[in-house]
Amino acid sequence: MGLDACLAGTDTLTALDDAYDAAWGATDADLLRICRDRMAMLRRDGATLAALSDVELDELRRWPTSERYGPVERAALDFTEQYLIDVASVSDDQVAALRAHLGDQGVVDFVNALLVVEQRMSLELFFERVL
Amino acid sequence: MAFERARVDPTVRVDRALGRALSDFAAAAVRNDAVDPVTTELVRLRCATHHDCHT
Repeated sequence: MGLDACLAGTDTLTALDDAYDAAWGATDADLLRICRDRMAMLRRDGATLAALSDVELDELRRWPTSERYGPVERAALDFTEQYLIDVASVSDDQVAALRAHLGDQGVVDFVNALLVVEQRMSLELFFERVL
Repeated sequence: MAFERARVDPTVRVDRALGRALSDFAAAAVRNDAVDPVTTELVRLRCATHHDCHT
């Protein structure tokens, strides 16, 4: 059973939807989308990945060397992977790399937006796979 | 892992609309009583540990 079905009619779902919408408006949506797609790849979120072409999947899989991505995207993807694997171990260097491109305000907004997107993805996968 | 200094300016606040939406979601999640209190507290503590949160 999916997230929407499980929480249908509750203010929890409404609030989650509102937070999800706000996340995309608070930071660079293209940057957030790339990081969402990478999280989907690592989490094997087929529904999200279905929207990507084979070329896009291949480029994203090898983002550290792909010419498709510049320094900002690489800093964000590096941060995102660490965030996903072990958020408490995000390093000073990873934050500094992101901060060099986004600034303090940009980092704060990006990380909060990433939190919401990751949280929703985790909930969707949980409801689909566990319940 | 404990950090002795902030890695971004601690006076910076998250985008207002996102911050408000996050607070509203947290409040709605707390009001949701579908899960029993003991399980809820166990999950909260586990998440706090994972996020190095000291609340």
